[in-house]
Amino acid sequence: MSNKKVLAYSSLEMWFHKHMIHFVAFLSLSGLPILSDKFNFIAFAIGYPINYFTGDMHSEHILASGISFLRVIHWGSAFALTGIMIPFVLSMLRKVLTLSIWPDRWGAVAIVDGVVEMKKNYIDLKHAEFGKMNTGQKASAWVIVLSMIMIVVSGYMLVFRSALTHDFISLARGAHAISYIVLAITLLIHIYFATHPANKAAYNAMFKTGEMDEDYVKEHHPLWYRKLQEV
Amino acid sequence: MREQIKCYDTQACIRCFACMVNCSAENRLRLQREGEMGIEKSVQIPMPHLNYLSPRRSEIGMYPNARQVTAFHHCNHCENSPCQHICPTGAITTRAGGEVVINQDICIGCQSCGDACPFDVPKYSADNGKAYKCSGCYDRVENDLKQSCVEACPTTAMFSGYKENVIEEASKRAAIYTQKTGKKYVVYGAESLNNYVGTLKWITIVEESDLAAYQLDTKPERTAIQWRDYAKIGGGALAVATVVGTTAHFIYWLDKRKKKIAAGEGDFHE
Repeated sequence: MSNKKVLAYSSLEMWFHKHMIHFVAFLSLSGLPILSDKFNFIAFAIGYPINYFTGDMHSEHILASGISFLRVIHWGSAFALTGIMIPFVLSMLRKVLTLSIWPDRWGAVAIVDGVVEMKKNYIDLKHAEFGKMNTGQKASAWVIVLSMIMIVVSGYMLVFRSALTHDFISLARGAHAISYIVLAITLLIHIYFATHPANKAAYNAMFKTGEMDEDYVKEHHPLWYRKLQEV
Repeated sequence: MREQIKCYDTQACIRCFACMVNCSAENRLRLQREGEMGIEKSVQIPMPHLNYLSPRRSEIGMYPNARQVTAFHHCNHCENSPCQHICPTGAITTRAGGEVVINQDICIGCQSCGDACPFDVPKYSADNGKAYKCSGCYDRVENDLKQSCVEACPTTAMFSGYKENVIEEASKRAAIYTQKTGKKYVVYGAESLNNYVGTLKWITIVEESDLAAYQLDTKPERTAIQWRDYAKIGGGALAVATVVGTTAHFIYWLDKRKKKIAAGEGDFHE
């Protein structure tokens, strides 16, 4: 048993991920009541104390106050998230070709092999031939990146709507909601696997040390380990 | 209260614009009545968002058959009212008489209604951050008065009443015009245009070949907003499936891990 450590996440990646969680939580909580009336309870929870102090306790006014307040939170969080995205994206672009989100092999056979390896790990509970990220993680990373781009672009289109035609704005509103729904489903799956006891080492690396034991990497991420040895 | 609708007859219209003027005047008088603005201010300040009925004049055809067409841009008070469905605060409601109305006290100016409207109707006022559109003069109708535009029309080119009566009269007029001119006239909006808007509560008697000239969209849609609605339904189902699937996987994983440890195979995840 060696005590050697492998750097899994840089401090910038850990910092961005942590704040991304805060802002995505704020953006989701503030955006969901605008997306669907099923989440009006969030707006009521915010609007009730506001209207309690203003003395206007009509239920429809409480909802409007809540959504008005949440819109401010939504916009503020969106601008802040864009702000923290800039150094992260620049840092990722510098090493874009070496990122783990790229497939190790291309083609349908590689995808099938990747799914088989995932089954081996998550269903059969056996060691699989994983790189730093498995096929499912790579796929979800791409979905997250693309949907985030869609959300940011369409969100800014909605903010600076006066410069656009009615058709474009309508398209932006549709794209903003649809890409969020795709992102939210992907994040549910991401959160499940990230907090799964089986992935404790990766969880600790992301939220605590940034490092993983070399022995663990060798056993659970053999492709990544071999790449590290080559370097 | 029974549903009431309005009809605009393009043949009987003499383009006097009395409807438009009376609409604008009524909206200013409404501000006075409701104590939101004084008489002088309500008349002097230009408030373009209160012009619910606006003419869009164009010339069609080639000389010597060229002619002027005045299309009226206004809220159609759709049966399925997409603006109402997308409004996050519930500021848009359909009154008992069928008028689709924005309550400015609750409107937060998010402009979702404008994004969902396939007729590009709700107008946003940057002055007070609210959306505006024709209210169908619901306050007048609920007090047994005609809508201000209908009231002003000197030629009965605009008329209103109970839905079945108005459609009956409009169909009669369309049949007469078809017979007299030899050109087919239709009653736009009397029948459902599509699932997005349904029927309209502002119908129009128009020559079929002039539908486009009068800017009467026969397929009024906002495709992205419709996809948004489908995605909401699909997303909800997928979210539930995801939660069920991950929970099932976790239970399976716990059981399998326990069995492996019991069989002496060790904890594979350590």
